[in-house]
Amino acid sequence: MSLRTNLATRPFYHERAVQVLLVIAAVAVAAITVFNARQLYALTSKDRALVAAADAAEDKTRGLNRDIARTRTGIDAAHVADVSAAAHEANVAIGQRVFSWTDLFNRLEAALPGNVRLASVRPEIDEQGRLVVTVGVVSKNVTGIEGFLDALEKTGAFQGLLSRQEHESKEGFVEASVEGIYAPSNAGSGGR
Amino acid sequence: MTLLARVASEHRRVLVPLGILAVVNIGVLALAVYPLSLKVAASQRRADAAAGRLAQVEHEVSRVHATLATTEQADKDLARFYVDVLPRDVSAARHQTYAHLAGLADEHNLVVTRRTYAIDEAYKGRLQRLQIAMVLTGEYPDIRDFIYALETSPEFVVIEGVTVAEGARLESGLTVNLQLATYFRGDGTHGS
Repeated sequence: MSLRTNLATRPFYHERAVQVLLVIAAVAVAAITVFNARQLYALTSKDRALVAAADAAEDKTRGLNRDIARTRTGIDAAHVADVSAAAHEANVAIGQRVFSWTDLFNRLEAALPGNVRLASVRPEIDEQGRLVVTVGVVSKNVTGIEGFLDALEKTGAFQGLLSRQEHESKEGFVEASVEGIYAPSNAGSGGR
Repeated sequence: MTLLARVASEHRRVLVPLGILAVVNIGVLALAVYPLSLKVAASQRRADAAAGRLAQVEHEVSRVHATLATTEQADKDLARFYVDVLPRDVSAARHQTYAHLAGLADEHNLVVTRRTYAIDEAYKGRLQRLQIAMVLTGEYPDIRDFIYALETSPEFVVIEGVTVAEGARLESGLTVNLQLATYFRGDGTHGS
């Protein structure tokens, strides 16, 4: 035998739906808690590592600064300048010594037309450290000198060749002072 | 009582702890995680700056040590150059060139018609410069061979210029002025 009357005093609601919502809320709160805990741990570790790295770098910087100061105290600036000037002087002298006149003469001879002859040769280092060669030549006419300049330029070892001075001698020859930058490394060896 | 209030009331045993935990999480996020992330950013900047300063100082240390090493090496090289390569004084320079140049000219069938030695008083440097002017007469191939022999001989003599005497012919019987120089480590008491 059963009751046929509804004895509920309050309206019915969906109990299962509320439980699902509560579970979702609990999971969300738990996830946020885990996230916060992980962030706190990660940030604390990272901060500790960064502070340690900065401290180490600053300590090392202080040590190196002391080392620099100590080393500088031991360096005599006047002595360094003196050695530098002496090294430059020695390098210039060695540069003159290793300059190959034979190579230069080989190139000049190969470029010299039949009606032109050499009168003088003088190499010098200019202010920019370039090797400038001044060649005095004597020719019956300017065509010979022009031919000489063209032939020299074709060797590839001379650049910016110019006839700086030119005059006619009492004998009627054209005497010219030809100047140009000599870079034998640009053109390979001129041979013995 | 509304349905929502009734549901809340019926599940307060779960809802209250969940709410408290959510509030605590928000508190932790606002009061711990966020300030800590700012501190980490500041530590990162400090570590970066410290690393930058360290790199600069390390570069400076390398530069200072390189200067020291270069100076020491240059000092050694110069000492070797002065002792092993250059004549020690004007007397040694004269010994090294006087007979040697005459012998070399003789060996190549050249006649030394004139020769002068002079200390270059205008030369400024740690070294002193001995200028040698030679007038040679002979065949052009012999003069070329003389120049080759001079530039390949161990004596530190540099050829500074070559001038063909006026009116001389290139083909044969040439007269050539050679401007030579050598350097020595004198103490300035070379006399006249």
